[in-house]
Amino acid sequence: MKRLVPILATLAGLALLQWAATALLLDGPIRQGPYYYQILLLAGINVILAVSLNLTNGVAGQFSIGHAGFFAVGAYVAASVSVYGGPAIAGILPNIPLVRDSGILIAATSAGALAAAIAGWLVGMPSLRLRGDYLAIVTLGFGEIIRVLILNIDAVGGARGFTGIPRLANLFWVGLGVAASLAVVRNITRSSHGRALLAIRSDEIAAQAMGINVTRLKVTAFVVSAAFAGVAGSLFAHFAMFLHPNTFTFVKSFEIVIMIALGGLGSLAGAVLGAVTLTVLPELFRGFADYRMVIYALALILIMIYRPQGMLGAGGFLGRIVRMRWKKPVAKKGAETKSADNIGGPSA
Amino acid sequence: MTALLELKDVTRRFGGLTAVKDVSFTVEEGALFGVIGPNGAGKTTLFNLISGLYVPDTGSIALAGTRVSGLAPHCVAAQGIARTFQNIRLIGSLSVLDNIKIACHMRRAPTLGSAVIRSAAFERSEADVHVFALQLLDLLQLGTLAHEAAGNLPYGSQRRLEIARALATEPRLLLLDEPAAGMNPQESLELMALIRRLRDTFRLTILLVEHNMKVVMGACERIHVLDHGESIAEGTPEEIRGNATVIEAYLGAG
Repeated sequence: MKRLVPILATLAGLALLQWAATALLLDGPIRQGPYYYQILLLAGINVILAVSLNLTNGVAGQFSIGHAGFFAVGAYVAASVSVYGGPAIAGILPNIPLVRDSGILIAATSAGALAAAIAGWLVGMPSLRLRGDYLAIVTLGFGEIIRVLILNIDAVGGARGFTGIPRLANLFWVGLGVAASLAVVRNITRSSHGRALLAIRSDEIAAQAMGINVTRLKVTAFVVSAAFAGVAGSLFAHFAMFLHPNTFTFVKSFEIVIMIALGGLGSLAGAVLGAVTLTVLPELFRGFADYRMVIYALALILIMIYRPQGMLGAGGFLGRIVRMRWKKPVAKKGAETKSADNIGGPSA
Repeated sequence: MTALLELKDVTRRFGGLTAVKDVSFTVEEGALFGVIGPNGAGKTTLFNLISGLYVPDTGSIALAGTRVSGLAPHCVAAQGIARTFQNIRLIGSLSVLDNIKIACHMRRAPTLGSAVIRSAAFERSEADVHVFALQLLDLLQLGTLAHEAAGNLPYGSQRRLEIARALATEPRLLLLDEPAAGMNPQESLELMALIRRLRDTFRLTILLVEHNMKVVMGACERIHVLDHGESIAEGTPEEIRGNATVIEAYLGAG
């Protein structure tokens, strides 16, 4: 019962937020209100993407650069469910618009999340057995394969794009997705499984020797991460009402990686901050849109050189302020980066 | 006494180098068993074979009659074999307590689902693990350092923490890879006393690899000697001390 209170409070808060946003931005006096509303929703979707990728890249230390692929799977599967299965779902629900729309969105989002999770399992199973950079290469390839696949499926519009998706997502639902992803990722991170993931990140061999099933745990984290990318995809589809394969290129994957690198790998607050920053900044600098990728690449290089821990990572300047209450500074990195292959004996 | 660990004709090659060749021995339940040998004798390779990091090319390893060679390292750990590493492999950025809790994951983790919804079972299990980890730290005189980052600990304490972490997996057989490496004579003596105490408290079987002859002779009840990957002798410390082949291997043929 105790756990119901925060859930109900979140729902009430989101409903209130939705009401306020509708009153102020959509029907309200603010010029360009709908534009701000759109940025708010995109920021929320990006937060879900960044927070979920952070579980794989930050917490488990497995470098995936194909998050846009899972985002695409979620978006297209969810959109297909509501476009082709919408009437059937509406048929079994009472004919109240709010209930009907919510029902369709929940069904579509569940399907999108499930499909993305299955895709995550299929990609993760073989590639997470290997150490090192293999996952990065496989996920990069996976993202492109999905995109090319979608380009050639006529039922979802192919290269013309997928049109006619009902607008079912709003600030309430995006907010709910953000809250769910934050809660799930936080609860996983701060649990026995989260500690085991940290062990895997710093030393797989020691983790194995302590009885941690390294592959299974990595795959689990990867699947959860993919599922939330699917949720983000569904919300995006039902908000944009139009999907095009060009939205889901590796550029989108890199964008999410940059969000978490900027915020601080492994830091939940960092992922949120990075996602919001990288949604809002490009809007402020619309004039430089052509140079976006140049700036991103440059930013990533500079972050890696001067602040590899990101804005909110351990030791970052914002991180220090946030973590004031912690007395001990977190130890330097050197101690945990022992060569993964050096287990003391001769090697082949 | 029954045999807990049994090695039968275990061989492991790395390219042209045979690191371990036809090694066979048996460790009785409750024993304090030492494996010694000069540098490059294959001691650490032997440990990596027993703990599942390497698979033997031929031969077999069994724990209490169950074959463990060929199992993945985490399955070997689940069978009840825990180990420490010669080059300490703690997670330096995490606290001492968290390093122990990580090792509790195998036997004491609640399900992932219960962690996500923070069920009562999850909270209970976290509290249990916390108490268990603190008890273990107290036993190894690390209790006061529980919230220190493991990487900031002095060397001797890091070695003890590695042992505590291995014990947290609740093993039947504990493998210690050069536990006294880098310790001064006084620390080595204390460590040996500790190892004996742990064996008696947890009714463990301990297999240790050591370079330091004094430590092995003082602590172990039975010793197996390797040289160039091959077994050259086995016996009580007294027998080993007087063994001509062993002396030759260590000091060279005179």
